[in-house]
Amino acid sequence: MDVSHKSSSGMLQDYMSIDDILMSSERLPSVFLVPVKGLGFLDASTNKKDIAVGTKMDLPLWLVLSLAHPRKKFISFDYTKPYKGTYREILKADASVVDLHKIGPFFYAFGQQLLTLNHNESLQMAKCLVLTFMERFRKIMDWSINAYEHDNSERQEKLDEVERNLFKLGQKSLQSFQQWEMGESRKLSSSELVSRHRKRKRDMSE
Amino acid sequence: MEPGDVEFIAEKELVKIVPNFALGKIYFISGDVGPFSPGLPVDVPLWLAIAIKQRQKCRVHPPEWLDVDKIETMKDDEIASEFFTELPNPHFCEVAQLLLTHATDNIPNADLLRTLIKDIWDIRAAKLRSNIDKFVKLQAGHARLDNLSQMEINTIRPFLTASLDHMYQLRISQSYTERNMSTQ
Repeated sequence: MDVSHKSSSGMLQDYMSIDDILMSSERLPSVFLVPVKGLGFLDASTNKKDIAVGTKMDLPLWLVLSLAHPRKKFISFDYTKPYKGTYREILKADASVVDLHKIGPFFYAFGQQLLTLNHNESLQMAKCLVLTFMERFRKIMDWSINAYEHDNSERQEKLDEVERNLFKLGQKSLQSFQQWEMGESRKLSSSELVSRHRKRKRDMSE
Repeated sequence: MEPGDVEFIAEKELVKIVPNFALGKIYFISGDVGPFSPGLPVDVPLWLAIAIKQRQKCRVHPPEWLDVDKIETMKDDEIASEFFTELPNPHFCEVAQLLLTHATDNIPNADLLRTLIKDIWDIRAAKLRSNIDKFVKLQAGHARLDNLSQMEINTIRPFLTASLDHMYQLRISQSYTERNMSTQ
């Protein structure tokens, strides 16, 4: 029995998961509310030694999560474009044609992490995530369970990472069913690695 | 689970054969298989029937439901009904597949049967997909589907459980946000 691949698990991040690490390196536009001494080198646009109040920078999510905690108030942040009102309207109109991979390969995971921070648009964004997935689910299911043609890489381009994993699972069960139907589970065949090894004496004698 | 595993479990089903040899009773762990006399039908598990058939020592008698008219009626019922019709056997697909592969000469109209069974499979798969989609769209907590065969459940299992997990994560984060908003 194989262990199913679990990418980011919702609102808690998995320390060891590479998907989570990649996801939390995406950046958010934020404004500093307090001056920070000595870290002026982080801001590429000025060459001052300190960061003054009101400096605008794009900070990665892992930094924003610690700095923007409601009680600490070091920075204030805003959502990136895909999670804002205009994109939400686009997703409400028709979620299944939007290219979620181009927007950010970790659309759902990043969105869920953003919900841990307080923002006045959190509720609409949460609802948007749920509705988007619900709409796209049908297409993903139909595509992955009927993968007879060979243009699957094209179809996978518009899906984000979580959806791609689901797609692969559907394809895998379809392929093993087809192989069983053709009777291949009954045959014993030498593994590919062994037959390519070129050191196999039996092949040379034939 | 692999389809091969489901087939393995399906091979426990009993099927009637007519042996052309004589042998006494065999005692297996899961039960006894009655004495074999040439020309007299006896019930054996499917795996044993196929093994004996491959040694050309018996004739397999197809189960009553593996008959063109009955399968056609099943197919018409399946098209007409909105829900899943009852299958003659929970391991319908596997048993049919095995018998049609190994005991082709004992089953009349094997090719026609193969096409009909494939059609029934496709119709049920389409019904299953639209039911799952309805389930996800309604965000229901649980659903009930009667009369699904083991092979169908097995093909859909990994995809369905993974996507419902993801759905659950998203809904949890939504209710968390709602609670947070209301306490502020």
